Amino acid sequence: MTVVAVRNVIKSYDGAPALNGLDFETRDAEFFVLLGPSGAGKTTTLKVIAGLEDPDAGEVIFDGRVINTLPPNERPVGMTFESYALYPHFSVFENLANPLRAPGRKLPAAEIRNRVDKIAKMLRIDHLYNRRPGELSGGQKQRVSLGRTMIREPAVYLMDEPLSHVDAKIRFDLRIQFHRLEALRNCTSIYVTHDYVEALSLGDRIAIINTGQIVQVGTPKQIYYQPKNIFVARMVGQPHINLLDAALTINGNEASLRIPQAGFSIPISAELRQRLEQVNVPQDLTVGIRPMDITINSETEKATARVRTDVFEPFGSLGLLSVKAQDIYLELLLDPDLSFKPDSPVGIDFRADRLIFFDPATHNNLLWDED
Amino acid sequence: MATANSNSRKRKVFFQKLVVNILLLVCFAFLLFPVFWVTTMAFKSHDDILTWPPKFVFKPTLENFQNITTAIRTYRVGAVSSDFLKGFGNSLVVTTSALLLSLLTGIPAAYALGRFRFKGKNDIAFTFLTFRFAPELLVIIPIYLIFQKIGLYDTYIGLVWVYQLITMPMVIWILMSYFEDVSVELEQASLVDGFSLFHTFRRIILPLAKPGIAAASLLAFIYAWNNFIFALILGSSKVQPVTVSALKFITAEKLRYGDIAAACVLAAIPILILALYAQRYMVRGLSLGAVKK
Repeated sequence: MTVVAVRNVIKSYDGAPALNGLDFETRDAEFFVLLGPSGAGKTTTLKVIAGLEDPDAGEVIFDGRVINTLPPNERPVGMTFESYALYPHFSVFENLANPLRAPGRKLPAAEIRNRVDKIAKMLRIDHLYNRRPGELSGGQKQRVSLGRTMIREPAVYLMDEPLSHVDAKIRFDLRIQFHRLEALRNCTSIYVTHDYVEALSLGDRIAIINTGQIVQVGTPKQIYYQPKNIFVARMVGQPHINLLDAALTINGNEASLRIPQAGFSIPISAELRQRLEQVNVPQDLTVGIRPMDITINSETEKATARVRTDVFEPFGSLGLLSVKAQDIYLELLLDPDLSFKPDSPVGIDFRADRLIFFDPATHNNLLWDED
Repeated sequence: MATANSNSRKRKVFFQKLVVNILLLVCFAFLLFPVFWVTTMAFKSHDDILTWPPKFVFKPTLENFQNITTAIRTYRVGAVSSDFLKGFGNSLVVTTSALLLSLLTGIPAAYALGRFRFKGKNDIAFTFLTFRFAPELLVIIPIYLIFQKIGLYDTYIGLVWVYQLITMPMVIWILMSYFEDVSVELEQASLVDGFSLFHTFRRIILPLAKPGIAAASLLAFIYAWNNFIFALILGSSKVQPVTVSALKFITAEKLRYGDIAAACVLAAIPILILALYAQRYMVRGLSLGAVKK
């Protein structure tokens, strides 16, 4: 039960900045996901919280107490490493038991055995006790690494890309397991990843990090539907959000977004127009629309835009259609059972309530507000 | 066609292998012949050694070994103390102490140089290396004068100290790369597990660097054991190691080839034992250190 706060942390390595005034605060017992591209400073953030790296400036605060000077072995944290960092000369059992053998713990052998058994059974690694880390698969290593972190019963879990090096199927299984592990649910966890699926699936809240700064903090829904800027919008969602250069055209009572490169206009409602006018939007905009928010209109003549199909990829659970509208391509997420002939005309509609408006100069979401 | 082709290729491969093996045999013979010859000399009588043409078949004798292991022998011209056994003991004492001292101080030094970034790190590492490639003769006279002044001449401490020039760079430079190769995250995992840096070093880092320690110890031991010039100049009868005591077999009466050969054979035994013992670490160790996984 710990609230972790990171206040204005600056850290650089040999003059190369890694963290530039990083600032965020978790809630108690929250699963907090740090999502960002590689090199954004995610791992450094965890190492600063764990005390493995000293910040050049700023504070790390646990429950209101500044702990900058506390050495890592005295902080109530457990950490899993991206490389797993299992001790190669120890058996799986010894790896798991290692935190219990730390000086000052002095637990009797039977107690150690019990606690290791409990965790190992939960993670289904109790049949591997006598193996060395070199003899384990990636998924097994990951579970041993997680077990070693959990066995200490830390107040704060720090997890560095725990699923990035295991193959897709095991990643799926382990992700489900992360949901089920009570220890993780009841403690404050900070989970680092570059995979937005993990972030959306696991996070109570997600912090988007880039170049050593927090870009946006919010619930998965907020991050997905109300991205603060183009960077966040592109960070989540696969395929990427469609970004179109648009001009807001007002013709009497009718307002629409003209997309010059695509040769069509998207009509917008009076209410949306009002909201846009309230924030004084510039005439030229960048409009974002997620592939799932573009639909096929079977009556091509009545559709908002008439485009030509390019490539259709049916993936089993979803179908990905790429269409060409004059000079640009758009991506659509559709039912995989559909079929399309290449280069045939098709009509598409846009869910106008899902449009996201960005300032083309600053890349910021024009309608974004804190809540 | 195909068969003819594969036949000619097979023949080509066969001849290539033949040439390579013959060349290897020549190198092997060239390198090992002196060792073989000294070993046979050790078992020959003085007359057999000096005959021409050299004898490959002879009646082996242990006379030479008896000569050198008997503490004091009386020759026709005066009495000469061979002191070989004492030299052997001195060698063991000085070399082992020098190695232990080097490990004790060199392991932490190598760890610091391999792991941490600090000002002047490369200069310090390079300075240690220069100890190794600077010729001993360059420093021997000043060291001799200093040792005379401060009373370290002909003492074990003095020799152990000066042997650090040989063993320390070896330990530091070999282990540095080993410590660099131990993943920082292992160390950090242990810190997060609740261990202090000292415990982490003992429990995680040292065991992982064991092959490197074995390799470095073996090489350092061999170089220190084989040292001649430091021991010759800086020590007298009290601390003389085996390399120097073999000189005593050059007597006024004659060059005692058989005794010298026997001394060589005996002196090589500790190194052989150590090499056989450390071999498995060595081969694995040297390649592990060289190739990053």
